[in-house]
Amino acid sequence: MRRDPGALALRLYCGLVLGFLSLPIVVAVGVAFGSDKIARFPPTGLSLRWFGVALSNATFVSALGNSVILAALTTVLTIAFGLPASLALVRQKFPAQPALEAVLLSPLSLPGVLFGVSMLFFLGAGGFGLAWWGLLVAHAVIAVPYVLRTTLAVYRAMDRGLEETAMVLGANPWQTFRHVTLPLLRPGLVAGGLFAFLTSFDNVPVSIFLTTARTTTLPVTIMSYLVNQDFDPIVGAISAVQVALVLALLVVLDRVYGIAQITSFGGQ
Amino acid sequence: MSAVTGRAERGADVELRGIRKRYGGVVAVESLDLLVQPGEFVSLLGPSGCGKTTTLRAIAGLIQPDGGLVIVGGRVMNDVPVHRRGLGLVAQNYALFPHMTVMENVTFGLRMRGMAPSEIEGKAREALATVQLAGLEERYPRQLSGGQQQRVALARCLVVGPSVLLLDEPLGALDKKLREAMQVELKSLQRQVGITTIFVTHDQEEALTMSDRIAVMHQGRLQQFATPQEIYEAPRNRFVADFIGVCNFLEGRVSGRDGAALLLRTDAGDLVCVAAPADGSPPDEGARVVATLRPEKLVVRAGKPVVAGALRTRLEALVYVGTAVHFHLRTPSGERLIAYRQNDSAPPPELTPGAEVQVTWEPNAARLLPE
Repeated sequence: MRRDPGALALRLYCGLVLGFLSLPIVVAVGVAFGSDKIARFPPTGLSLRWFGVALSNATFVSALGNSVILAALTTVLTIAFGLPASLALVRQKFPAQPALEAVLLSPLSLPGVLFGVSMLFFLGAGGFGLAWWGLLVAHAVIAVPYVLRTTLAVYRAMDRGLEETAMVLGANPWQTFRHVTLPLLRPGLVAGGLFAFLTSFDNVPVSIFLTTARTTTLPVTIMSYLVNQDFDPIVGAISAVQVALVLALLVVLDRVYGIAQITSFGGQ
Repeated sequence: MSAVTGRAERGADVELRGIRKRYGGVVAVESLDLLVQPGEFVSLLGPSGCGKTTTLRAIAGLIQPDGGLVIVGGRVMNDVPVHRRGLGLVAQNYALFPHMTVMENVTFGLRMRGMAPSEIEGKAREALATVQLAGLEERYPRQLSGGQQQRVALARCLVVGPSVLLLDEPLGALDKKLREAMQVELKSLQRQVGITTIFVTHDQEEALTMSDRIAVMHQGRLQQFATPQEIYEAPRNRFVADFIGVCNFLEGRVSGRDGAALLLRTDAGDLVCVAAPADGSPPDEGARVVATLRPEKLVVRAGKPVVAGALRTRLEALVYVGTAVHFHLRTPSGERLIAYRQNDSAPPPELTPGAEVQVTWEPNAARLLPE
């Protein structure tokens, strides 16, 4: 193999960027595997004891459970809402289309804290209090843009002739959607759903206003723990569990759809 | 439903009555009338934006015309939804479903109709055999060559036994050699199946080769609807003459008759023969007319001695194209002409750029435009 200084420089650059991106995770997770009483990196000795402590901490475990359920339902809700919205925005013609698209994507540009506070006022004014569904709806609102963006991108790149040909071949509108449109939108839905899940899973600014002791999420719990206690290895351990869950999700998606499928927006 | 086998009931006739379509203020199609016979192969030919694709889409039901009737097999189709029209469509890029195998693509229409799986399998295999694709059932479209993809699209379409086959520039994406091979194949398949076919193309050569009749369109209007030979030999107007092949236009005044032919005095003063119009009365003496002359029908010779009925020109350029030599000529009054000479022997040495040359033709080769 010929040594190309340009290629070498590129590798080095990529390595540095990846290192820069993953270093914080390495530190947080690394602390969890230490035997020290206080958070220290690199740890002086290796141990799994902090995982035991973290996973027997009822507050963390129930918050983790809350977060997983909330993120999963948020994903379902955003797809249930984002998919029909994409269909309407791409294939229908109506006057308010650009405005509707801008509104649906606007949570991306709205500060989360502001939205959290507004939602809190809204739920209060409506007499709903800190209902759990309010939290779910709030998460869905901030996660919808991710599903919408990826799905719109895939749909707009899709050849309209595919759906037209299906209809000419005798597929009614539902069959056309079921057998042609939906399978071809799948990469966008999966990628968007993944983003939606992750957005919900580590959201603090909105959740912090809308959770109660019973409905609190993992990121909010970690944050209040950090504020009240300190950065100790228990936090590192629960973060490591969170990272492991996300990685497991990615691996499953890769097995089912292939990462290339998820990341390329052009379909097959 | 036995269309692929060739046992085949013939296709349905297609009638368009006064079809109109505008997009915004732009006219796409204007009062189009067309009657396609059962089993006929008709090309809609014209430059881009002439309304040919709009017309095809109106027949398919993919767009709703602003006015007029689409009648297929005697049934008014305007209010029949796309999926109930029972037509076949092959799009320019074939629109094969990328997430389905060849087999799944070909069986799509039958599955959507809820046909029994056992029956579907047999029909699909038969269709794939017809287009010579047996053995590729499990491939995905992206694993096929352009020609194979095109055949899958055809098989997928024919297997449902459509009454009319609509083809939207289906050969446009293929390279020249493959395109010519597919033209022959498609045409013979169409004959064998006997299906009414409407073929959209901007390629006049393709239209001439494949069609029973050609509908030349321009700016949303039908210019001429006739056999390839009539379109080429007797164009109805200047647009058709110019669009189909290469055409020379020669202007002049009628100055008498010579038997069956008319005598034409050109602006440069030459007296040449043109065919009298086959239908209708010949134009009055002194009337200004335009004659069309196809380049391959012109005979080019040295300027002297002057032959009666010849057109005097000067040779401006001589282009060698392999099978022929093209002579670019100009008359004393400034009209440009092109003449082709079969490359069967070396052109006479005196035919060099700048030389005086005279051009002659059989009187029948020059046609008056009826405009």
